[in-house]
Amino acid sequence: MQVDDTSLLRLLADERTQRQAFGQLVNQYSERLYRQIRRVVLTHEDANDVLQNTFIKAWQGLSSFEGRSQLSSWLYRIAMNESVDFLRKRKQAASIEGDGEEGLSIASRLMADEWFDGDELSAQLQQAINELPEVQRKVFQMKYFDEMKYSEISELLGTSEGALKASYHIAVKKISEFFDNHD
Amino acid sequence: MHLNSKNNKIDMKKLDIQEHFQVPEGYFDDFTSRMMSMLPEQDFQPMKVDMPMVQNGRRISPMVARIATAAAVVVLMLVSTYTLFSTKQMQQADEAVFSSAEELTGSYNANDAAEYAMLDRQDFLEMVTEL
Repeated sequence: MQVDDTSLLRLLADERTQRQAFGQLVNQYSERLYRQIRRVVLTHEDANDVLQNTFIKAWQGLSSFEGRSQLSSWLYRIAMNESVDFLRKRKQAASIEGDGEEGLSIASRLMADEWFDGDELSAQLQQAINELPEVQRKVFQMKYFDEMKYSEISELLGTSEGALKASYHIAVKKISEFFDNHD
Repeated sequence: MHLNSKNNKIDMKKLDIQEHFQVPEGYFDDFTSRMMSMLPEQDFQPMKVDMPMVQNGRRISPMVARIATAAAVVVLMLVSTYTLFSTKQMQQADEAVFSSAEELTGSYNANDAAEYAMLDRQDFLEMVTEL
């Protein structure tokens, strides 16, 4: 059963129901957050780790939520911070240990992932997207894959619709150039 | 590759719009219970949540509520300033009437006259200005 955010916040703010309400929050947001995280870290195993870290951070930081943004936006920001942090730590660890996997292209790693069922072109598209700057990548994914409206993306990212449109068009141009250079 | 033949560019509209990210079967079915068992025990986290107000069944965001409050404070300040200014003007007008009343009552002080007539000051001033 879905509970609206206002009711969920009331339950979270109540000492008697806080933990139970957090379970409801996990139930309602895990799939959505997983999708966003997977887009950044790409493999299922990594997305699973980051999703768990995201909910632990949210649980420990409940008192930092001040209601200035929507609950979904707050969770989304935690998830994105955790994703970026995860990739940074892994890169650092790989450079120290000389891990050969870092040398593989994203497309090659995706093709080797049992939970990626796309063809090589789809894997290359993911690589092209992954090479975009963060904002352009997010805007492109939300617009292209989720078919979200600019107004919805604007609310989630806190950026003007004009800036989002510009970011999307630049992203499309860069992806086209990526394929030109990889022919 | 889905290429636009005219300029040899990739045609985004023809690219697959699926991400092809799969998850193990049943992954989300028991995710919540697995996650809750991983959550550390902790003391109650008090939340500084501005519960959204509801007016006529429509939710008012905390930001709108703050703007409305600020607007109300500004209006209140304007009204207070206007009232204060008006009162001062009325006092000045009273003083003018008072002076003219003194002129009318000769050597009598208007306050004394009002007291004598068992009228309050305002009534007295009204009475003498009607003369």
